[in-house]
Amino acid sequence: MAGNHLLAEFTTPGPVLAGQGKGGKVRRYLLMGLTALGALLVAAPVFAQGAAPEKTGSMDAMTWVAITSGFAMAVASAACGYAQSKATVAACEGLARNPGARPGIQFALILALVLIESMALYTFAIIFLKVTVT
Amino acid sequence: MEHELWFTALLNKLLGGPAAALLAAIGLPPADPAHPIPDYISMEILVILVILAGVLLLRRGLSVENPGKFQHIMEEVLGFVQGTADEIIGHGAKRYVPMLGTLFIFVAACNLLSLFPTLGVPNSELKIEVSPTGLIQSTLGCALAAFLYYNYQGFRQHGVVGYMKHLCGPMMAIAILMFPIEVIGNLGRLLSLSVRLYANMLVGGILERVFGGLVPIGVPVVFMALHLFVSLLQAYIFLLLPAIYISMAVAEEH
Repeated sequence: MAGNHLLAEFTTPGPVLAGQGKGGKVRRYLLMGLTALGALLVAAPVFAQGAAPEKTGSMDAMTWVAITSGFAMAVASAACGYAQSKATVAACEGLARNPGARPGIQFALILALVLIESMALYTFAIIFLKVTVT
Repeated sequence: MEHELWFTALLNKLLGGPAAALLAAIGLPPADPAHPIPDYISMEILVILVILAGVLLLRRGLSVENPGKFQHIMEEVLGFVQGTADEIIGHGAKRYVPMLGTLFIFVAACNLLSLFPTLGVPNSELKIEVSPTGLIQSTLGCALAAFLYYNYQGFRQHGVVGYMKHLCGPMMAIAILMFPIEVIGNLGRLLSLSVRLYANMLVGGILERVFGGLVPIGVPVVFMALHLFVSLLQAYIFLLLPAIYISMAVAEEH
């Protein structure tokens, strides 16, 4: 905020310009709204996807495969995230308790993270083998 | 034939005839006789040629008193591989360092290849560009090399009968249960090594294309940085896990 550097007078904005205080309320809301709009505009290509023609009322096997693969990937990623967090917690606690054992703890942590990660990736690989775009 | 990389075109022009003849001779005639060498094989050949050129360059400049920069770097890499092997395998690790170092450097170089502009292998059905290890064929090859190597070292250390007894577990009484479990476990290692590398590289390519397509400025760089990190990590894992498997295969019970 208040800089002690040489150009502090020129680079530190006053309260109104920075949107702080009572006078800058409108400016603050305007800035937030325009930023949100700008972020939405950047992701505009998302809306460009056309709707595929659907057969009304029929759920064929490929649709079920698509739905279940979405759920399977979500469950696999969630379980993988939980397991990796437990491994990281144990590693951090061990490291805090005994910083001298860092090489061993770091090695075990990296190995554990990669092996757990590969579990989620097996699910991904199955999805990519079985779910084809028709 | 769809668009192929410049190096593939070069290789097909130079070696297309003999390669097609060789494939036909072993009973697998290529789909397109004018372009028998696919993109990912030509990229792996490029990696091999680059590594060979680097090693030859290194050998010419080797010196004990006055090492150059490249020698320093390769000494660090070799020290890293040797240190990992010593830590995991313990006594007698020096014999396995060449294979482990080759796996490490080859997998790292193949993974990093997709960061270069024209050297990514295109995957036409997913419309992404991926490294040569983003195809199950090449990762299965690397994993098969590691698998055959550690089993060979096990046979060499204990003898054929001795290694089979080693797979039977600690007691002969439960050998009838342990042996199938151990065999399936070993095959599972082959599967996991190959699929882990394949899935990581494929996912890297997919993520970059999906998020880079949404926000073309700035975001692809972030995913390239992620790919760089994941490439080196997966190469380290391809060094670590075969070392662990070797250590388990040549372990002497005392």
